[in-house]
Amino acid sequence: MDDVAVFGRDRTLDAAARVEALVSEHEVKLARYVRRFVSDPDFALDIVQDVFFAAYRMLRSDPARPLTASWLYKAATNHAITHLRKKKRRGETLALEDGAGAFRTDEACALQLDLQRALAALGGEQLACVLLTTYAGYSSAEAASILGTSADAVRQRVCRAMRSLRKTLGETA
Amino acid sequence: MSPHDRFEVLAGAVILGEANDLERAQFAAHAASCSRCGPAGDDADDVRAAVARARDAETWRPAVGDSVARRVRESGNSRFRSTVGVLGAAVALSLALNAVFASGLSSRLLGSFAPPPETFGSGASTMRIGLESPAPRPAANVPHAAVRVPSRLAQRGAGSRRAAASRFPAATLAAKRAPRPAANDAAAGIPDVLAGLDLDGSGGGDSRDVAFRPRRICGSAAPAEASRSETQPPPGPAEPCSAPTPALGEGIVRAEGVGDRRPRSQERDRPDEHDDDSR
Repeated sequence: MDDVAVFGRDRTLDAAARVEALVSEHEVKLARYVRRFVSDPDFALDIVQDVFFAAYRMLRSDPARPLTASWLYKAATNHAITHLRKKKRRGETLALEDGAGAFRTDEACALQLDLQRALAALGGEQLACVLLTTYAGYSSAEAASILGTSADAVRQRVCRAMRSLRKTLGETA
Repeated sequence: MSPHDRFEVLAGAVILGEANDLERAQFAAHAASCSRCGPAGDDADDVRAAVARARDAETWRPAVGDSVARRVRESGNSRFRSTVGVLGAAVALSLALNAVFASGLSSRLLGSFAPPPETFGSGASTMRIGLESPAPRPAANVPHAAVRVPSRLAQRGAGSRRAAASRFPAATLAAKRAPRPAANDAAAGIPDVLAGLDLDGSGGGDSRDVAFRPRRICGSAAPAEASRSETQPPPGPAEPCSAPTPALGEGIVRAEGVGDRRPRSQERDRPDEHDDDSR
């Protein structure tokens, strides 16, 4: 995993070129991660654009600052948690709930929808720990550095999240 | 951290595949006897496998590169436009200011804000200095104005007078105490504002009050009682008068503290001053 790798490696490039390299390398994985988080592809794309543009502004103001993949996931996680909190405050339902019946065509798609519904039932911190470790492939220590907490806290949240996911998926099945 | 919390951490490590053999053994021993922590690791592999399958089955390939590049370009253009706008506004403002100062319009504009000098000139021409005019008569119920001199200053003045008397002979003092000819002042056009004031204390009596206003007796102005004390009775019985008589002490300048001194007659009894006078 390129967690500690310094992106924008060629610092002779300007900020726009470095951000372009970042986008081509991380846009798909980051967008999928955010979509799992917010359960809405449109919001996920908006968040990913905001994250890359924030990276561009940061590189423009301080070209010598290293920009890691952890920074991208951290910014995306913060944006996604903020979005979920706003959504919960407004009392909005998941967009996934509306089209669940229409898209439930095969077993794989049904599993995706059930898993997404179970993930959406988690809290923001547990969801971030599960997605960073089991979906994005980070270790507990790397996820802890992204989330600004300890590795034991990440492990404990993963354990509790798995218990909730198992319960939700069992009820769905 | 409770034992269950500690074993939740161990269960998380087992789920993520980060636990070593010792940790796995500890967790297995605890899960065998704990109904709460037992199922934690049982189905976790299934859930984790489901998440991994969902990740691998993803076919969504978003492309945000174009939109990010467009936002970057717009940001650069807006920054360039704002910079050019600010510079253009600064250049235009400097050109306008140069044109205003070069054409002399600024002095006219600034001059229009200054007050016209005729306003002050006319006021000065009509204002009269009232040195020669009498003092305004106070109202009947208004207490009389009095200028109070601090006692310390008055004592200092008395001390200086005694020192002067000890330094100069009596003839010189008498010459100094001689009244100045008013004709010279009048010829010079200088009003004698000190006339009638007992400045050196030679008026005699215990009081240092100085009266500068003549008393009106029966409608006619009596001679000015320059140094008469208000404690002394008037020289004769006052004639009945129908005109309003000003209250006693009206227009009196009272030197406070000077009256507390000993009378001059007692001061002259001092031996050193006798010596000075004899000299």
